[in-house]
Amino acid sequence: MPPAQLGEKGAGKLKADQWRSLIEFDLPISMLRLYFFDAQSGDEAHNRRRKTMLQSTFNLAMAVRWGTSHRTSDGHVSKYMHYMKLYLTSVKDMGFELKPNHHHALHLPDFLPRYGPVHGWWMYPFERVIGILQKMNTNNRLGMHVAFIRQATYVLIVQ
Amino acid sequence: MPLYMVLVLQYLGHCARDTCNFVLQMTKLWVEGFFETFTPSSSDKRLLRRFPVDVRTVNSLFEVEPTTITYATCLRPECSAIYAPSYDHRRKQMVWPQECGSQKFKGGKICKTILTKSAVANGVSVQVPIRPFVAQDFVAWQGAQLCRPGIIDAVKSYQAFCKERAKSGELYDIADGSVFREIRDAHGHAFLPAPDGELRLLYAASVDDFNPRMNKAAGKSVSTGSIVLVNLMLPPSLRYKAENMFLLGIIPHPQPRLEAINCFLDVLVDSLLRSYHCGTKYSQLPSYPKGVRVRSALATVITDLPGSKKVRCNAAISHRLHPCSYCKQPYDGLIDLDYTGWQSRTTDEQREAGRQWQNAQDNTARSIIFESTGVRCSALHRLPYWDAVRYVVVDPMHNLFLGLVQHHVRIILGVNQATVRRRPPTTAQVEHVQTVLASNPSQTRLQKVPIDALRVYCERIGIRSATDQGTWVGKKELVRSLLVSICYSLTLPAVTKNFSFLKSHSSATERQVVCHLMLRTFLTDMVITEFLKRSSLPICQHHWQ
Repeated sequence: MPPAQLGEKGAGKLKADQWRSLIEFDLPISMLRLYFFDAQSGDEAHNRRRKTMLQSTFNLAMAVRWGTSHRTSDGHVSKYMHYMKLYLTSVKDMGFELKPNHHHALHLPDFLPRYGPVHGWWMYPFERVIGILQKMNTNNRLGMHVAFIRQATYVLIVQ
Repeated sequence: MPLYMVLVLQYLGHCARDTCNFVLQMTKLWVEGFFETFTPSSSDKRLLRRFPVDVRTVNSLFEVEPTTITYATCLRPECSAIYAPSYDHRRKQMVWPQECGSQKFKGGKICKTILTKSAVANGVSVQVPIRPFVAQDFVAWQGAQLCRPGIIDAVKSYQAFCKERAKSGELYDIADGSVFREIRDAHGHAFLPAPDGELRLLYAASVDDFNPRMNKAAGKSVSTGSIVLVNLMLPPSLRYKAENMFLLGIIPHPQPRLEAINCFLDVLVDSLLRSYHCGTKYSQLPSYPKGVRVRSALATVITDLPGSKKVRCNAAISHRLHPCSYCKQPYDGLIDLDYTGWQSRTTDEQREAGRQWQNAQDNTARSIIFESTGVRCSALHRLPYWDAVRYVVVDPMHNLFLGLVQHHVRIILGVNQATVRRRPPTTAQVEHVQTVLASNPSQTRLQKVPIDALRVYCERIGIRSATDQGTWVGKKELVRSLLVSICYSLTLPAVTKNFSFLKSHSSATERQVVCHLMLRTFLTDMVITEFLKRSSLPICQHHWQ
């Protein structure tokens, strides 16, 4: 669940799973409510921009939904590409700079037929292992690698 | 039961050894008291006699000690060569080479960095590695995993289940993906399914960096890397359990630079190559009472984007010509969304470029190959079945959630923009930019000036700081434009005032003098090339070469 004070200084850094929950549910619903159902201002340009933002957010949410589905097929790949291309075009049209992540998002579907749904090959399990390793006590002595690797292996086995 | 409790206290509760020993001794006292109340039998007395009082005994009883090899690693991050120990029978201890003997090129300079330092073990003076790399033995770990009850049955039943499920045409797991059918064995046949009498396994590797100090310690942060493998033949419910994941080793600080990571990947690749070509014959395993040969292959490497560049030894994401390891789009072309027009990279090209890079005789030859292909040699190229382009994945977690979604929320929607909004630069800051420029700065010096002050100054002298679409020009581009502009604006008296050596070139033209000036200020090739394109004097080019 993303923090309640998202946007404020107190919210801090979000984890990947919180961003995921944001785009899957919180953001589309909140934006729909704010930009569509609530009273609209008289300024035409402002309303148009809001509508573009809403459409863009929904395109991203749809692309993420098709891309991170628990089952995948050629149909999923083409849907993902369709929505991702719409999203990236809207980002470009709004005047924002595209980053390398945007480019690599278009390479992502090449891996879906080869490796199946993303749940089999994303980094969540490995980040969990990193989390276990980070919590281990090194006594700030990094030369103790022998003890570290043994303890790491023990922790993984005993867990 | 109390022994297992002590193990959990030690490894999960992070209790010190003394605390664990205290718990053991109290437990032993309690057991003694219990036996005094009821008459103990001879087996009870034997149990009491052998009850451990040190947690190290408990470790050996539960056989959780992993089989590890401690390599000595060169201290220099750009070398990082590793050396396995040998056993000295006379002194009865492990010994490592004293000095690093690696050479970047045949016949080139030998590293000669000291690898070991003195220490005391059991009252005896020994030499231990200064930067040890402790690696777990893959064969021993694999054997231990396959011996655990239910693992081999889980592998077989899951493969049968996937075979049935494949008829539906949809993919539910990595085991349904085409990579399981693509990989070939040494004879060119499909690696899976395994022939009779063999067990064949596919693994996924992950290489990731982390800070073992958890960013809590004041002072510089430390970065170490981890190499972890998972067995893809297990069902997902077992695959990602911590006890089924293989931690090969932790790459010690400092992080190896560029191709030096190959030294650590070589340990993994050596084990996988042996397993692929020869396999490992285990004399007895569950479901195989007469033994079985086990072969392994690597199906994929899972890392984030910067990590994938490091593991492949490719150019960085910010490289001008080769930012992408999957297609040949240059950095300026990343905004192009017509993916049908992108030219894909092939594994043969990558391998050939890596081979040429490895065989080059000096740094200049290597730089030329790298600039034209964006490839250095990677240890993974040694695996004969390895597809250098397609087998390293774009991690969806980092790309979609930490990349696209975060960018969308923070930059496009502007949530949390209050903390990143900057104040406009003061007049003093902008004038400081002018002072820096008047001192004939190098590119590195100008990069240190705050970006906002640079932008305002550029606008003032007529250099564009935003594109037609309204996006900001990057700092590197701004600095480049500024440096080229000052080269044109310099006059001969201003230059000779600062550089007395130029007085000997009194007959040279103004632009020739500026050329000397640029070489003295160590400007980058990029700036000089751009300047030369604009200037038409052949003399300038001769001096530059």
